[in-house]
Amino acid sequence: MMMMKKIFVAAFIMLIGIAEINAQSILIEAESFTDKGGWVVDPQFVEQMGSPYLLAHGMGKPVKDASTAFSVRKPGLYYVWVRTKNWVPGNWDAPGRFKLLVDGQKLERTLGLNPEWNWEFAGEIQLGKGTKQISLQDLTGFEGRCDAIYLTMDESEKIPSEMAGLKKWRSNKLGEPIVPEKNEKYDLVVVGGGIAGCAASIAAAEQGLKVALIHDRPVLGGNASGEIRVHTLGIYGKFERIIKMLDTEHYPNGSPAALKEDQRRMDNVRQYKNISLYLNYRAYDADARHSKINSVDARHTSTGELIRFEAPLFVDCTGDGWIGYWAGAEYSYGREASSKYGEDWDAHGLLWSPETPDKMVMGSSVLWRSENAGKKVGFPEVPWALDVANNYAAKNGEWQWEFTRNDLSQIDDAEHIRDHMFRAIYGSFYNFKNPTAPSSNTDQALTDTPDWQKKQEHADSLQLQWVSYLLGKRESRRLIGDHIYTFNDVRDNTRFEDSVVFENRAVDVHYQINLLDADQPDFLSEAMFYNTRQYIVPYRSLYSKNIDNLFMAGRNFSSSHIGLGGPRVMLTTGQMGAAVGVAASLCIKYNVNPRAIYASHLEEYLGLIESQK
Amino acid sequence: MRHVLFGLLFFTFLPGFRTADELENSQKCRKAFVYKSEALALNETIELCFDTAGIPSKYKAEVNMPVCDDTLCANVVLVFYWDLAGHYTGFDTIPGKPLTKFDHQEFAKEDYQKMDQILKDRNSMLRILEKGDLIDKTVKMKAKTVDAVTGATPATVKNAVVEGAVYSSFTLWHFVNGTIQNELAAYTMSQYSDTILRVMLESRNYETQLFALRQMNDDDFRQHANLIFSILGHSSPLINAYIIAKLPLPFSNQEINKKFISRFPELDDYSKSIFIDRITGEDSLIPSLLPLMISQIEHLDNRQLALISASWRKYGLPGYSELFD
Ligand SMILES: Cc1cc2nc3c(=O)[nH]c(=O)nc-3n(C[C@H](O)[C@H](O)[C@H](O)COP(=O)(O)OP(=O)(O)OC[C@H]3O[C@@H](n4cnc5c(N)ncnc54)[C@H](O)[C@@H]3O)c2cc1C
Repeated sequence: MMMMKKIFVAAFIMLIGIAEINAQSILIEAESFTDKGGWVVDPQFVEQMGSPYLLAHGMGKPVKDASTAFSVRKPGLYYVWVRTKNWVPGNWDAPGRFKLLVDGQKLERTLGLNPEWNWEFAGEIQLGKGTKQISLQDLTGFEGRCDAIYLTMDESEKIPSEMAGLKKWRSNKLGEPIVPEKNEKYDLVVVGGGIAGCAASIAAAEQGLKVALIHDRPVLGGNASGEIRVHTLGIYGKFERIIKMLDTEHYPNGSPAALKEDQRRMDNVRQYKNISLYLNYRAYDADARHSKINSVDARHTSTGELIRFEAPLFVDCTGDGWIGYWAGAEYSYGREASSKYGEDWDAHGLLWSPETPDKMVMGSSVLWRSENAGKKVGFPEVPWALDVANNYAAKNGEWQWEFTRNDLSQIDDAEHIRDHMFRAIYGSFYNFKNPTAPSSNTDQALTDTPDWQKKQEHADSLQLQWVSYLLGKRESRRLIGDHIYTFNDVRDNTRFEDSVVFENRAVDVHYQINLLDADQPDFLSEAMFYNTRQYIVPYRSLYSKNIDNLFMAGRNFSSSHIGLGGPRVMLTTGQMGAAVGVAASLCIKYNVNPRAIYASHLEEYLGLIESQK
Repeated sequence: MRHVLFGLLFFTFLPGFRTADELENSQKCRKAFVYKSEALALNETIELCFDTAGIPSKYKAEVNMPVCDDTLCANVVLVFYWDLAGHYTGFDTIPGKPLTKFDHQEFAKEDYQKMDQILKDRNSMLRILEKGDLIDKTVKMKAKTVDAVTGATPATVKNAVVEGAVYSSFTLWHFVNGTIQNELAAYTMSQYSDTILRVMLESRNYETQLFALRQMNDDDFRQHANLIFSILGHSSPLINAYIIAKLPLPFSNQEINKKFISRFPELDDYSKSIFIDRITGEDSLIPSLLPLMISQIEHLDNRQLALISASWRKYGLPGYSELFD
């Protein structure tokens, strides 16, 4: 308590200090713009680059201006800086260029030119006292990005660019308290609203728990949402009723059919009065002491509002194992050596599992599609995309559009990975729109002409209809539980005394096709299937080994790389969520930790699961 | 590889025609063993063939097998080839015995081509399908020339088979990629020699290379270092990376270490990354190998340079500031 007070006092003094400084400088977070125009908020890479940002995701057509009002207290000459990034530096015009306007007056410099996230000078402007309008004008439609705008009267001010310094500076400028002032208490806090997180919330709420579901997007569903558009696969196991509220039709991945499922899923979750839904809040820290999480802090992705969530139990459904990571939970990342758990399978040998461990986990995808515009439509030149696409041509992208590399982390390099997919997509689509004509002096050209014309006409009429800007991830951190689920559990069809998740689907593990031939595109994968009878995930793979009150469900459950291959699909991860939600209710009932449910209340737990149908 | 394939397809298109080369080869085969399979009702003689220098080069079997349970389709009669590791490499038709579809229509050129591709696809859907999955009982299709019906192919299977020859595709895939592989590999092991090792390492099939690499212990790697360096960088990324991970580094002779390091620019992204992970991550390699990377600085991208310089600093190697600052 004493401690708390001290922090508050410190925060108070700082706030007074800021008011002074702020008189001469103004920091505007782009994601807080009141009118975002055609720009979208991208909060995926906060841990790497520091903040949600605005992205001009126009698929090649400049998006509508974003704008917001701000007030100038001290009139005078302001130097204007913008934190941005040229996402493909090279011998071409930067793809994501944009301009800044203040009260309709365009600032001198074009922005989006720095090779890394950093402050770019936009120009200087004379401002009178009062309310002003600031706007972002996209010039390209190709993923320009703006994190923040800073106006200062001090010409020589040094704005920090390195992450730690920037973070401190930013919260000073914004007058953020060190800890969230808003405090909420729940029985169970679930972070990540994919199918796993939704199922966990519903199952716990049905058992009477007061649940907070924190999710960093405006819609629920994670990879199954209309924002990413992967259809759900697998079986319902013991939780058909619950999971049917959340699943999807078997539409082709990337189909707009995903959108209507979003509505149904949202309605279904909203009907639970004791689920408090925190949409557009991204968790950014977990406070753990003595192997126990006390609270999770989250920030609104646009307004920046901070909330601290306290609970006796937490569920990590973030996919990336963030809560576990912040709390100090043990986790693994990468592909184990096949000998580690005995996971080799000679049908696919090295492609299946390496002999020495590496970091070549399954990759992330960006789904996309084009449509017939019914008339001839152009597509801009994309010289910055062709290093990646080379001469590969395509008009849509399914699950095989996947990218991973041994030297890239699916977490730390996620923005690079997403951007690489953008280049693959725009370059391949450009190639499709511009097929190489057969050279005119060969016999071949004569015989092919009608075909060729048809092909060109078809290509001419195509336009991009939808390209996701969210990475669909498959694998990253896997939190370690009391049981690590491996290929052996699949191969041996192991039955556990704590069997809670059941699956029949053939296991599939992917490899990049350029592993076999370096000349193949690096953004395409291939699946290897292992057919088997029913396999089962035990409850012990769903809570942390070393953080006492942490559950996990979804692709960050406790498994090996190959072990994840079967149960990572979303009806299975939904089962994990539901199993965890039910377990949480018993933890509350007996005031115990997740492990005790296995040790002391297993019979009651399994009975409760049986009654879920 | 391409050439071999074309050669084989050439026969396929012209049943009954064989080149002198192939005739010569066929004379240089001898019986290796008999392959029996109850499931496929087979009892076949497998021959080992030799190239003109008398070096073992491939396996061959002439097979006459039933492919479906009913009388709708004719037996398949073909000559199959596998490499020394037991991987299917192609087939020839036999004069007067073309492959046929369910309505006795003869295979067209494209059908032979597709069959060859299907059989070569070790990752085919056929691996996980059972015979019953092949036919969707609810869809019936009238055979044109035979007074009978047979099921149509469900969409999922369609891409993995030659249309109209579903059972042949299925049966042949499981034959050429099935247990016969282990027996072929075992036979190769019974004949194993340095010559065979070399043939297999120089194969364009990564699995065949892997087969040979897996037989090698540290001493073999030391003894055949030059041979290994000659394929390192010219093989698939998977094999390049495997070699890098397996080499008994460092070599006691610094000249050999230098040769190893000089392969770096020839490597693909994946094996480069495994290369850097290894020489920056293993304490015992730092003194002899890391300094040699100076010769490669111009070939490093920023990410790789950062890893090298971090390791340089961590292990306190001299000259950090001149090199990296
Ligand atoms: C292209 C592709 C095709 C696939 N094909 C299939 C398929 O056909 N069928 C199938 O069932 N599965 C498929 N999968 C696999 C499956 O989609 C994933 O394994 C699955 O999404 C895992 O579910 P999850 O709930 O663990 O994670 P997610 O669906 O990723 O959900 C986690 C959610 O948590 C949110 N989040 C993350 N961090 C935070 C934070 N700090 N604060 C708040 N919220 C946060 C994320 O925004 C995300 O929406 C595919 C995956 C991809 C990428």
